Amino acid sequence: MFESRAFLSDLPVTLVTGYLGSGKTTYINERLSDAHGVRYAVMVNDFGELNIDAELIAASTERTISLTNGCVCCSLADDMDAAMEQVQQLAHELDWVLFEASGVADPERIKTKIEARPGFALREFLTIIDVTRIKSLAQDKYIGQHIKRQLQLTHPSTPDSTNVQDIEYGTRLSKTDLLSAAAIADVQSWLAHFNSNNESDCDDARKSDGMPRFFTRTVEKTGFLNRKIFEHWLSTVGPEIIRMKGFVYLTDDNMPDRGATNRYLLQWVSGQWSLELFNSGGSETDGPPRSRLILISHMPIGEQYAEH
Amino acid sequence: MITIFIAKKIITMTEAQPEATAVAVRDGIILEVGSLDSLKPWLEHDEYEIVEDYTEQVLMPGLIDPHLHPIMAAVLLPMQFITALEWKFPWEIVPATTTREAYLSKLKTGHEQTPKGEPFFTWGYHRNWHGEVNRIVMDEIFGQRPAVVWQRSFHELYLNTAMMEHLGIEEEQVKGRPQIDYEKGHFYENGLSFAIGRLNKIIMSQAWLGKGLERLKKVVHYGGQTTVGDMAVGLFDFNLEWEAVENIIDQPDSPFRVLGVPHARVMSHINGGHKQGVEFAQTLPERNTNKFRFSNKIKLFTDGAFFSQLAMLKEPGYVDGHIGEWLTVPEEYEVIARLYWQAGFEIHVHCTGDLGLELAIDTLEKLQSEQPRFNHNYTIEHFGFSTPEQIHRIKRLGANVSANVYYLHELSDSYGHHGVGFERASEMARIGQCEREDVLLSLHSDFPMAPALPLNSAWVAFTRENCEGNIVCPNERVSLDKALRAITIDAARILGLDDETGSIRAGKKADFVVLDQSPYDVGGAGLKDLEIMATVFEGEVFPISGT
Repeated sequence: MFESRAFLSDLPVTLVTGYLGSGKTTYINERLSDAHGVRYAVMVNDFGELNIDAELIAASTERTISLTNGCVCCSLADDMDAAMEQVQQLAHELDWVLFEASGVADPERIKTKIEARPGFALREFLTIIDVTRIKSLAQDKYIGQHIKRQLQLTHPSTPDSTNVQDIEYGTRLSKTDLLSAAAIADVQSWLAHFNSNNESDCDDARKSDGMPRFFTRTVEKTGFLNRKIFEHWLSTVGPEIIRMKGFVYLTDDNMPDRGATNRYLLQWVSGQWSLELFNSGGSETDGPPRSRLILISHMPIGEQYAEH
Repeated sequence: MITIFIAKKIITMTEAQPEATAVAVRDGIILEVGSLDSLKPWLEHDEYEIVEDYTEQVLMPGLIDPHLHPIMAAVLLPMQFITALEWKFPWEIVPATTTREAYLSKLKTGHEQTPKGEPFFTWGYHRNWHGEVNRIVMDEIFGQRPAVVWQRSFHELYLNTAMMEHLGIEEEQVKGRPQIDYEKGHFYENGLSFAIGRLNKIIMSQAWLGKGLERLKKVVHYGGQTTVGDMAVGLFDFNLEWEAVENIIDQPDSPFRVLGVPHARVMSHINGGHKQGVEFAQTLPERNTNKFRFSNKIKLFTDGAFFSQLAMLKEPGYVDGHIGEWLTVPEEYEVIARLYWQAGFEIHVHCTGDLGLELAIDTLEKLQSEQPRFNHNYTIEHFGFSTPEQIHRIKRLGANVSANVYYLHELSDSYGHHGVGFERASEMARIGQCEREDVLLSLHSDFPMAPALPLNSAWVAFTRENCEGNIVCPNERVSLDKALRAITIDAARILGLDDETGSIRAGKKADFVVLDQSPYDVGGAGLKDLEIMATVFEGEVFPISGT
């Protein structure tokens, strides 16, 4: 099914597009405050607009802010390549990337750029639409072409066959409180013209508000796990889990308990997984070894995983 | 001590006294231009010497390229050029390499001549001439030496196995990625940035950039230039660039000065906001030295790269229906331009397409109505596609044009066939109308995008001859006088340095270029073949060797 194992370590990316002021930052702030243990890398043009609680800031540089909850904010600063390079350096400590496209980026071009980048995999493509402005923006002398192109590409007519994993497409209407229900319906029927190959914008509850929600569960375990038992457990993980990642301390016949040297990085994507011996950096030196996995799903995650 | 230069002819580029035969200089400043006879009052008060080396030559004001990118040039210049067209450098004339056999043999020679343990980089590869070159071919030639073959357009490159190992690029990472071919070691377009991210440890190192800037010094000198504009300081890394240029260019052996125009977006990013960016830009002149300075200029961008067909076009757009790219969101452009306008800055705006230009002009019109300014020097940079109506507006709003005419030389033919059709392709760089409407015009190279040879640019502006040898849109040619002004006095006006350089008159810096003949004698068609014998920077002679 997959050409290489590299995808296992690819960071999944949510691409958030939309014109200036449409609500991209609001959306990103919501995702951040609703992180449930998912360690996000947030790549934005300007992190001045993010709601970052000063008390949460663990460290900061000119281009990055590390938060105590494991999230990292990274300024794109016109240099997407440098920013992706930086995020890649931290990849093993991150679970998911939220990528804010600039207001007039050609989404197709950014999509290709992410797909071409080793270490990243585009998983979600979200377009945020300001219902109060979208119709006039589509007529704008300078950016009308781009806005129309964004609306068309948000609803691809054919499934993406080039990518090993499907991309979830979604749209989210913002500022709906500023318009009457009739006016919103008018905008929606206007939007439908860009979307002739799709039956409806709102056929899927998850897509209707444009929030491809995550449900997460963190599983922690103190002490060493037996590798055989752990691998068996991995084989029982259900298809609702889209991603699982974390460090585990394992012992097996060849490698008995030798403390931190038994630390493995687990990368798990849709039933395929890898375990990589990972002894450098970030290991907890004090106390007994503590394995920690994060499970990510689009559905609520059952208790059985916590009970393991 | 006074130094007197005498010449067969001195072309002053002033209207009052266009020609002379002697010029007196003291402490780098012109005392007087005229004849040996007319200079006498000065000679009675001071010692003097007469430079008689150029009595058979012609002196002009030192040439000016108001828009190039030293840091980009510094990345490129340390590489070995193996190219399909001839490139002239002061250290070598790179001959045209037009066959696969010749290309491979050049790679072999390059490998043999590179010291053991050093990587090999070459630039200029083109499949149409050189056939397929890939990792397998490179491995045979270079063995264990890490090597890079960079394509002429900058948009693709090939790495050999040793270089991939050196950079830690593994099959697992890159296999199956679009625009990366692991087997061939080929990284292109979006895949390229991944390779560059890893190559940066070599090509952005102090040693590499130092070598590149040393070569840039020679290139600028070789083109007869005594003043250049760095038209986006901060393009890669503001502090690194400032330090590198400061350390290497600001030396006694540099026969030119650099006016740095900071990149507005970078000012905002490194200072945490547009307002803070403006305030920071205002402090930059405090760092000025004689050879590297900042003024009240700022660089903004509207639309995408001309060479990549990312210029934003008005109707009817590109033939294939693709659309270009905004480098700055139009609303944001207006916000940033307003802040700098209100702070009294002179805005230089990169515009490649006619829609990008429209945004620049509309914004200027708005700013003029909000807060009128005279002599604001709002300058359109590059000036790829435009309409005649836009040039009326440029004139009425008081803006300037700094044109890259090499676009029309290199691209008018191919963009006719594949791009925008022949009508608009032939009318790119609409400089004839700039002359007819008396718009202030300069010519630039955007080096390394085009050769840093102002006389060559002036030749293109005068002849409008493209690389196929065709004359495209002769009605948009400029006169010889306008072309020469555009690389001397008018370029100085556009950089705001016209009180200091750009013409030869009492009180200006003694910046000259020494030519074998007068451009007015050889005519516009002969400009590119004029021989540059030396330059004089602030009174000091810098001969050009190898001529």
